[in-house]
Amino acid sequence: MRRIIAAVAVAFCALLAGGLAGGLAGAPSLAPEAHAAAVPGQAGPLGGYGAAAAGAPVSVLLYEPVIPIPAEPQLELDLAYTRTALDTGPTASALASTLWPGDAVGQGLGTLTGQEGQEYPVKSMARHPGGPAGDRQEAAPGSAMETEAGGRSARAHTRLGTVPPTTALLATARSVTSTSDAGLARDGSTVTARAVARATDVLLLGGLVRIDKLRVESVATSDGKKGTTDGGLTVAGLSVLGQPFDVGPDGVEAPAGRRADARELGISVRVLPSGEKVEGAKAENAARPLVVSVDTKRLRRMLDAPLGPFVDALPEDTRAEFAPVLALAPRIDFVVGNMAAAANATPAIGTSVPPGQAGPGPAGSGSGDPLSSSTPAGLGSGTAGPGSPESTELPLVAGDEKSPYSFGGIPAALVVGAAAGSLLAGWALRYLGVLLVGGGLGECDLGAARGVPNLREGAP
Amino acid sequence: MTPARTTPILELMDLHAAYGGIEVLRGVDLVVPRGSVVALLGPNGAGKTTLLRAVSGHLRPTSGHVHLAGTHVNGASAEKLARAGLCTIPEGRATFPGLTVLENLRLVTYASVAGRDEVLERAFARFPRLAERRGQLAGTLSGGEQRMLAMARALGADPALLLLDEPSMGLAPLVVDELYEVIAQLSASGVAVLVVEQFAGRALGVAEYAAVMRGGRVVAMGEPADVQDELPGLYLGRGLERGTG
Repeated sequence: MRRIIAAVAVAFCALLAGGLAGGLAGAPSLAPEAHAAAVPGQAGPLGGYGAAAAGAPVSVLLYEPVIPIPAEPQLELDLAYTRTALDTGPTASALASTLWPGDAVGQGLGTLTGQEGQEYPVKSMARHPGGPAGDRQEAAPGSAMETEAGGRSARAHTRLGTVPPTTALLATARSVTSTSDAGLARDGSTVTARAVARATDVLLLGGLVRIDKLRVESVATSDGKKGTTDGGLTVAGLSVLGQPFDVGPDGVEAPAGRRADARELGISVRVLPSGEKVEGAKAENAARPLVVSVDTKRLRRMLDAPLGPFVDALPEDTRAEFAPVLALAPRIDFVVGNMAAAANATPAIGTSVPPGQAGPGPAGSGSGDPLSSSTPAGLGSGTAGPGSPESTELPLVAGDEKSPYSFGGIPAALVVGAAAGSLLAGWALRYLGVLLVGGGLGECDLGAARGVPNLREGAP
Repeated sequence: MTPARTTPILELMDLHAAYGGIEVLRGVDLVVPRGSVVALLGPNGAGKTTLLRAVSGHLRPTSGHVHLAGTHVNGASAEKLARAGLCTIPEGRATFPGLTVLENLRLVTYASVAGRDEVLERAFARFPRLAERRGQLAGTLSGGEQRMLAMARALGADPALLLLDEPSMGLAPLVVDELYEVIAQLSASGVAVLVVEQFAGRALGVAEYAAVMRGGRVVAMGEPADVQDELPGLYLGRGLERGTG
């Protein structure tokens, strides 16, 4: 959960920095008419924007300090992982993988194996403007990974009909889909990030934990003035060791005494707090994922008694060799519904939004938003509210109106003067440095004159 | 042994140069007397071309001394050195393939102390074949002819010190003989020539002194006959360290 949010946050911060820089680059006081000119692929009303969405319906995280991997968790496996990002450049990227081993392996396999150029094969990637603009991979019948990245949107979609047998003992599921979108509304007035996942019959630990009909969605939207979030996690049913549990607004609930068996086995189920956060135009949303933790220390302690005599019978050398293996007692977290989205935007410099014209609501489905046509039906209201794109047309203001980014007069003179002074100082240090330290331009340390002689003089 | 027949036009003392963090020249000492031909030999990667770049101002030495006619010129720009009479002919064709022979030669007149007619006259006198092909695009000349054009253009600048990098590279033996004949004539007319060659044979026939580089240092210097005797050992690292200028 934290890793997904961190990935979205890191991508988002990088995007936003670029986005804001892009906004500043078009400062109106320097070129007031720049806003009137349409920039291909860039929306008019938003000067800078960034959106990122990522997630996987089921993630398996293994924490075991004995494993010599300098990361926490030490091992990670995400089923139906998708990730997208979009920013002002416009730049966009999309990644989809039916089985994602985390960024360390997924992005850096060549570095880990020492074979330059080696890439993790089970993935589809698209980028804009570098390309490819789109990609589709079919790892197995019924499984597909699709990505698209353009100047206004990025989309990653994964469909997983059959879970690979390698992961079946840990986690399996039927009809898994995951989609991450990041895109601008058609009129450029809002930017939206959305991560959606669905799965039926999620079975963990070979069926010890069963989740029916999972649906999770995280949406974050920004119109440059205000951010909004939407989404949530729903499951039709949850059972642990065959005992039903309810997942409600207050977390996981079970009739009294039901959880005792599971706790004895070191299995706990909880719902993490919502990662919803809105600060001005910035919106972040992480659905409240369901976390099933398996602390294998309890299981291992149960095995100590029956295995003890066999271990004691081993020769001492062999026992020492196997000591690290015998000490393994990892904690395994199954994170179900691990989806996060973040969006932020800033209005174009020199534009102002009259009160009452910019609405706070996200673009609803059917509003013409390119994301809406490419994502599953949203959890939101589905109607264009008071903040719909139709009502957020941002008028341009006169170029001579004061803005926080106005530049001129004494500040401009100071900046230009400082730049000129720096150039002069650099030149002086470069060419007069020898004079400044008293060495003089006259001779080198062997007593020869410095300069460039006319070699043609004194020819024999 | 130091070539001290006349006043040195080029002296290198403990010269060091590097590409980034990789030091290529590790304390080179070398002397080129006025009007003489010095052959700089050595295996591939010894630092010969880097030495020419350091002398001609294309690579700034990290330490040590480059003295031209007794003047310390470390850090002087390549164009200033060229105007002063130091001319470099780099490895390869070194011509403008899209210009004619005449246009290639005319280019040098912008920087030359000599007039246009003098430059052309001098070039065609030394290389009559270029006169026949004056209207032909340089890129369509044979390898030997392009090399001649590069030399003719360099001579148009009226050099006092000529740095030649691998002049025989990729040329037929007869063409190489012709080029070295010109080098000998230049030396006789007072031009000092430092010629870099990986394969010693023809260069030693013309040179008055020869130096051998290995591992970024001059490991031997002397009369061509002396150096030639020890050349196989020097290339393979078995030669004795001798006076280096």
